[in-house]
Amino acid sequence: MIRTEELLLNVGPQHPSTHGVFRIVVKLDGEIIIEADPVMGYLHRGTEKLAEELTYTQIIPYTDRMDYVSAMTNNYVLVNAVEKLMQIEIPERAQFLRLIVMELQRIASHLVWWGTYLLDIGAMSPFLFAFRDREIIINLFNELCGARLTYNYMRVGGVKWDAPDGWLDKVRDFLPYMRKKLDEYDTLVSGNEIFLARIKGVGAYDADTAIQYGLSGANLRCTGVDWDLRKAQPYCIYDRFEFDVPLGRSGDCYDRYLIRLEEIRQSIRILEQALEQFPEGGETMGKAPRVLRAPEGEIYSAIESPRGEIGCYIVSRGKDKPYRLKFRRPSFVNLQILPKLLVGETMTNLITILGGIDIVVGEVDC
Amino acid sequence: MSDERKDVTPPPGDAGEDVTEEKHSEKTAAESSAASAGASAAGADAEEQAAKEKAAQAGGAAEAGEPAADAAPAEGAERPRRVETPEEKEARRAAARAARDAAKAQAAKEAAAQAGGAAEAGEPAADAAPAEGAERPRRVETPEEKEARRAAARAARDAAKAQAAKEAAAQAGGASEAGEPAADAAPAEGAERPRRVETPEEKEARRAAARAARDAAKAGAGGGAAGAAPAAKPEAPAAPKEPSPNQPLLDRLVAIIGERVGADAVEEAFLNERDADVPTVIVKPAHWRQTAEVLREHPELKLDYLRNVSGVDQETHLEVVYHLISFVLKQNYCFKVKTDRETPSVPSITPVWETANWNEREIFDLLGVDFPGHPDLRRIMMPDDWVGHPLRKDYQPIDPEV
Amino acid sequence: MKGIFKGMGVTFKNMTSPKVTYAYPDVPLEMPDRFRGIQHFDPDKCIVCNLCAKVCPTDCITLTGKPNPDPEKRGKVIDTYDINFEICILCDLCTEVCPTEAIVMTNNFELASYSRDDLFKDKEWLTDNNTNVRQENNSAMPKGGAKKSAE
Repeated sequence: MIRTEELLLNVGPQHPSTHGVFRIVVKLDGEIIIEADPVMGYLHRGTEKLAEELTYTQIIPYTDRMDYVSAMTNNYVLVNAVEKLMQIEIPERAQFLRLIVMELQRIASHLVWWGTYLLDIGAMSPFLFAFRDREIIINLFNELCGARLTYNYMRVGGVKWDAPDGWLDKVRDFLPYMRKKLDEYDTLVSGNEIFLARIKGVGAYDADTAIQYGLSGANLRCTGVDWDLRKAQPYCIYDRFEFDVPLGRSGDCYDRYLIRLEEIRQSIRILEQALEQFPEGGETMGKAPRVLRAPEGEIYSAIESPRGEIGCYIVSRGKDKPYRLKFRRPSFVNLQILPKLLVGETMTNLITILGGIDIVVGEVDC
Repeated sequence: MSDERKDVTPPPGDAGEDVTEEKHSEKTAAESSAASAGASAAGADAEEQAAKEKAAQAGGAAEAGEPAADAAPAEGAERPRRVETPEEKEARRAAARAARDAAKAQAAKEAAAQAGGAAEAGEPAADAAPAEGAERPRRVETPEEKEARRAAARAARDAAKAQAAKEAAAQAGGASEAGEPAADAAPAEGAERPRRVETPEEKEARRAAARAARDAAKAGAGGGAAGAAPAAKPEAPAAPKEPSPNQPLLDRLVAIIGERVGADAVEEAFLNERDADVPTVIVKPAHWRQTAEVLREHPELKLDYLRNVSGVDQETHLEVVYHLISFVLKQNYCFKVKTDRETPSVPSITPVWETANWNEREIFDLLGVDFPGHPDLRRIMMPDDWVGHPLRKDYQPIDPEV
Repeated sequence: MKGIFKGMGVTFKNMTSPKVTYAYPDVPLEMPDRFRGIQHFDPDKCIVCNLCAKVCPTDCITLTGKPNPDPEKRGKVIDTYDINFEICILCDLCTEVCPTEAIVMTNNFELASYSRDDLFKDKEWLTDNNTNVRQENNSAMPKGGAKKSAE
């Protein structure tokens, strides 16, 4: 008589596929997961508490370190909330620069995801391809604001730097290159039978579940819910550009994969239009007071980061520091569905599903 | 304006010892910027000083600004003493706030004047409006409710702010005379507006007025900055008093909760002006769970997506804030539940929206709010044996080394 | 099966493409001018205004001033100036607020050391760190002051 025994297995916190220090305690019956309990907080730095002692400008570098794969969008969500609260106008040129860096960031972030996800599943070379192409974007950012990951680029009222000479042309040259590379990615991976066998139908859920769990970004759109804040509640100047929001149907890892790749193509489309319409001259910094004192009140402002809806809730009491600052982190909210998805799956699918959600632990823990 | 001799006001704080009193000599751009930066620092400090004590000393040197600075903040500082009628706390607070803002505007102006060097143009205008603002609440002696006073204070503050902004703008732009008169008119206009609203109109009208006032003030400031005076002027008085398009939504929402949950479920309902007039409702904790179900199911609300849950320590009480949206009707709402600090408890809504699960755990962890009905309430960020709730305002770490 | 062959085709094609890797430790990396590396400090320009220490989000700058030794001149001159690179996040805010560009970024970024104590840099060290100094500074000053852009 063969009998299986329950096994408690600890995955992480240093497992390479957990994308940071994140741990899952799984209860296994043979190879089947019967219970999963995510344990987090290893990267909790108390950003929200620290922010209460910092001025708004000082918080911006802290946002870089939340979702460190997509720091530009984090910068934006904070400055946007403060600007709305203080009713500061942003110069046209700064708006364009912000949009361009955010879309480049979306491409870079999705490339990191694409590379690491395939690495998780067992394909080595896509990782190298993705990082090779991401390096171009990182170098562009380095030229623009002097850092490769922690940009600290946006300011309340505008952006810190204007584009250096020739920078926009470099962005322009990058776009057709990226388009070509995307086709290459598709040839390399998207039709690969082994890959399809690994992710098709894995980690599927329907639209109601996605909404119930508050998922956002590709995790929500893979079920066919048409919700992209760039379109649904346009911020910055997204309403001036034409782009499509790719939607999935089956809600599985494969749909999420396709959506993210398609989002890169759409970002390229937005960038092409933005470079076309980029204003000649103009200021990059609006009329912001030197000491930023947000008026008493509160605001919730959200944008679409590569991972989903990132929001910033500020309670201000009229000081130059927020009374309370809360970030709605998409990785944190999206991750909630993980225990539900894992039940009944095999151990090998744990990483497929976790990777498919696309988390950044810096953001989960904040 | 770079080659003028600057008198940098020594601010009262630590910066004061460091910034030198005056700098002649090299007229480099860097030099002048030093002065302006110093002045702005001075302004910042001076402003706090002004609010706390009776101004005057704060400004320090700066002959030009002297008399004006005295007038307004002193006025403001004396304010609460004169309120002898048995109004509630609220009025006094509003007044103090207005006074502070006026003082702030004054200080800002001071700084701007110093930095730019070309002060004369801005002077008279600046006095008028903030003083106006400071005096405002005193006249509100009729026993109007909280709301009116608050609105007035807000308008006054906005006016003062607009004034300061305009000042700075004018200086920067090289003092465009054209912008001046228009900008004056508008903020003053704005400040005066709420005073006239003395009839017992409902909350809504007053709020709209405040908003209009703010818009007017803003228009004024914008006008000043751009130097496009004539355009700004006609706009200011014409700013319509129409209620926000979200007002019917709020009324309907309150009605729905009243009818489906109970008339006493809603503690307070208002539009959050700062956040694009999002309808905001404060719900009593006892009714929150039932309200949540109604919000989700009601065909006119269909709030199926919980965007964010935040906990706020308001010192007098704790607050849990929910931001909801309907994917069907594309409408945002905000709900708040207040709970006391000693035994904070808010019914869990995890059974209604699964999103709340970890968010509630996080609030429990960092603020110590209990969520009865939560399936698995334990710490999520901090270690299980952690003592205290770090996001509380009075939190003291048990081991400061950690 | 076809997919795998197509994929392999991409792999082979890339075998002949030019190398994109850096030979970093052997060949030093050239960073763009705006790169935010270790700060350079110029004591002669410093007016001890304390703005950099105030704006620092991590409180890693400490400075003290002393009265100007030249009795003809008023004000203060810098006495000590320390940056703790254990906690400095190279966010660039100190150079952004500095009115005289006494503290500026350089393109040097190699800070690794065997001891944490080595990461505490004083005025002399920062002054000597004078290679690859950034040309373009202070560009995010809000408009409205007397400050015009420094080229």
